[in-house]
Parts: sequence; C-alpha cells; structure tokens
Amino acid sequence: MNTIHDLGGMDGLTIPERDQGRILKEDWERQIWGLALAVWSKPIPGYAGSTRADIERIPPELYLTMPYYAKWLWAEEVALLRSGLVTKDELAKPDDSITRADTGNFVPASPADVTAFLTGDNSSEIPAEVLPRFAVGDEVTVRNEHPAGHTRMPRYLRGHHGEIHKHHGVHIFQDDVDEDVGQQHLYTVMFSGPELWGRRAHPKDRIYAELWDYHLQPTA
Amino acid sequence: MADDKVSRREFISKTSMAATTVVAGAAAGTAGAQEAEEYVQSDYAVRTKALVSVLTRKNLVNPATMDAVVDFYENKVGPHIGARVVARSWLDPDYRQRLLADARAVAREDNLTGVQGTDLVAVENTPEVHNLVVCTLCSCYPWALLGLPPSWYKDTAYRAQAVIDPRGVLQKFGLELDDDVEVRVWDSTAEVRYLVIPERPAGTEGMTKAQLADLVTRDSMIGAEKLASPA
Repeated sequence: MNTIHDLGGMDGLTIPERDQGRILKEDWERQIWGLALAVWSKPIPGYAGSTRADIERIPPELYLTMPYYAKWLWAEEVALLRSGLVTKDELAKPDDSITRADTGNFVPASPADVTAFLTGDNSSEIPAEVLPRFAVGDEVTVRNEHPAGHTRMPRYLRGHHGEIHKHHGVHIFQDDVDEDVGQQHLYTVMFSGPELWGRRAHPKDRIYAELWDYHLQPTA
Repeated sequence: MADDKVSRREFISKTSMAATTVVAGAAAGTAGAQEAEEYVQSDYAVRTKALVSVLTRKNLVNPATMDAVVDFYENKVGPHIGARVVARSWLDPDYRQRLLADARAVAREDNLTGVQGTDLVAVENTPEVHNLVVCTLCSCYPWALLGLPPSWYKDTAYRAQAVIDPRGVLQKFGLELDDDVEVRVWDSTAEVRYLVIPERPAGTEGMTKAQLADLVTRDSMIGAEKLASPA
C-alpha cells in the first residue's frame, strides 16, 4: 500500500545524530521485544498477524511520531485482537478472572526453543522447481503497479529500468496478492542514481534492491 | 491515598481502552483521528504490561522466554560478531574472497546464522567504492551479525534520504566522499542482509585479529563511517 512506511526519496525530514547507546532503553521496550520474538519463534494457534504489514497500516500521522518499539506493540495488539486470542476487555482489566486459553495442547516457546530459533538457519530460500526468468546482466523494468495490500516493491523503483546484479534462487514471496504466482526467484537489481532521481542524483550513485520475478519485466 | 489509587486505576483503564479501541478500529480500518491522537499519547508501559499479563495468564507466552530474548540481544549478539568477521577478512585474503563470493556459506560454516542475517551478502569498501546499507520500507538489518539496529538506522529521515542523497547523508554523518568515489546503496527489501567490510585503517600493520576487531565499529559495518587509524 502507498503509505508513509515506503519512505525512499522523501525530503523534508531531519537526519539524526548517530546514537551509540543502548538500543532497548525502557523496560516496556524490552518486554515488547521479548514478547514479539517469543511469539514469532513459535506461533500461537490461530495467530493471524504479520508485523510488517500491520505496522504499515498505522495511520501516517502516528507512524511519523511513534517510538519504534511502540510500532511493534501496536502490531502485536492488532494481531492478537484480530485473532481473537485476547479481547479489549481483557487488556483493559488484566486480572485473575483471565484463565488459560483454549488452545489445545499448545505450550508456549521455552527459553531453549527461542534460543534455537534465534540462532537457527533462517534462510528464506526454498528449493527451486521453476527456472528463473532473468539472468545476471539482464536489463529489467520494475512493474508500475500500486497494490493496495502489502508489497516489498518500493514506490521509488516502480517503472524504472535496472540491471540484474545477482540471482538469489527462489525465496518466499511476501506480497499480498490474490493470484497464484507460483515460485518466485529473487534478484538484486541495480539502478543508476540518475535513472531514479534525474539530475539531482550524483552520476556515480548506484542503488541496489531485492525484487522478485513478479515485480519485474524484461526491458523492451 | 485511596482516591489516588482509584484515579490511577481509572487512568489505566481509560488509556488502555482508548488504545485498544483504536487498535481494534485500526484492524477494522475505522480508527478516527481523535482516537488515533489518544492512542499516540497513551502509556506504552501500561499497555505492554497489560498485554504481557493477559498472555501470561492464558499461558500463551512464557515470561522466561521473553527474558531469554532480551538477554540474547543485549548480551550475546552484537557488533562484536561482525567485527571479528571483518578483522579476519583483513588478515586472510582467501577468507575475504569467499566472504565476498558467498557470505551465507561462510556464515553457515562458522555458525554465524540466525534470525535476520542468514541470507548474508558482504560488500567491501575500497578507495573507489563506498557501500551504505538501508531499509526504506521498514528496518531490516543483519541482527545475527550486528545485533539490533540503532535508532538512527530506523529513523524515517535516514530511510528516506539514504537512497536519494547518500552523499548528503554521509556528509551529515561526518564523512565527506571524493566526487570520483562510486556510492552503492543497498536497500534491504527482501530477507537478504548486508554486511559492509570497511577499509582497514592505516597504521594497523602487525596487529592481531582481536586487536583489529576492537577497531571495527558498528556504524562502519553499515557504511555510515570510515575507520580512523589508531591513535
């Protein structure tokens, strides 16, 4: 969706100082981070959420001012409410009237489970059953599509010409599309600065981004 | 005293309700501007505590697991892991070539895999080429090699400007690049994660791998700075 999270190329914001301190500063930040990763490592039956997609749906005026970990809190609240795993009333009054959920034999992730998850081989590559559409060096054009759902194709690349720089094999496709797109090869595509930004760009700037077959067409 | 307790409870109830109403509204696509405003001003600590409390009572999350996650990111992984990779790449040309050709294979061999970082690509800074990593869509970052990203990396201004004006961003960070240097910006739009191998500073001849690793900063492995010669 074309909203504020898709920031590439936007002017007017102020570049911050490079902070060097602790990352998780507040107790609630540590808690929400621990919670998010614990849930991610072993999904609760019925959990229907996607952190990236849910964060993208935060209203733009809030997105720009909300602390980073508040966005993760928002995403967890939305996902758990949507899934019916928690209710508004329970969050408003988290007392002893709340008892074990009816989730069958579900046992939440243990510390050992989460450590195995965090240090595991987490590649998003899957075995390829189809051939790639493009090879390194091919000239490609990014599709000019503006899907209303989640996409990993940034706006600033749409319609622009690039060159396949690297092929990564088939990776899990993340866009929210309502058609069966089959297996999707992933590529790193190289764009010149002037191609994307016109005369404002330095001629020796190069921008690289990962895009899937679905996002690309051969340059005519 | 009693009044204070009541008003505190009412406050918690009110803010928590406002938050969940707007979140529920957001889930249904109906959150209004006023609700949204209340949400942003509500108490994150109270809401987090309520969420953790409900999930714990329902046995949907184990608090010891949450602690293990925080311990992992605060005490186990961090830039020291990437720094060792960089230092070794300075000393061992064969390792450096393998890293640049297939960093994921190297990470697997050396047990450096993990969430956000397994599909690793390494890029090298040279006198002719400077690399800078960003995620314009969210905050993708090689957690397994560098730990959690700093605030500046997640900042909307950095994410917005790194792709359109990388030299201006670097200048604000204190790094002035010559006009004939090629700048390569890597926008992490999938699960591929980037490690920048900074240039080895002059005056480090004869140093051990551990001594070299101590010189390597987190920000140099994102491409936000060059490493200075040791004093």
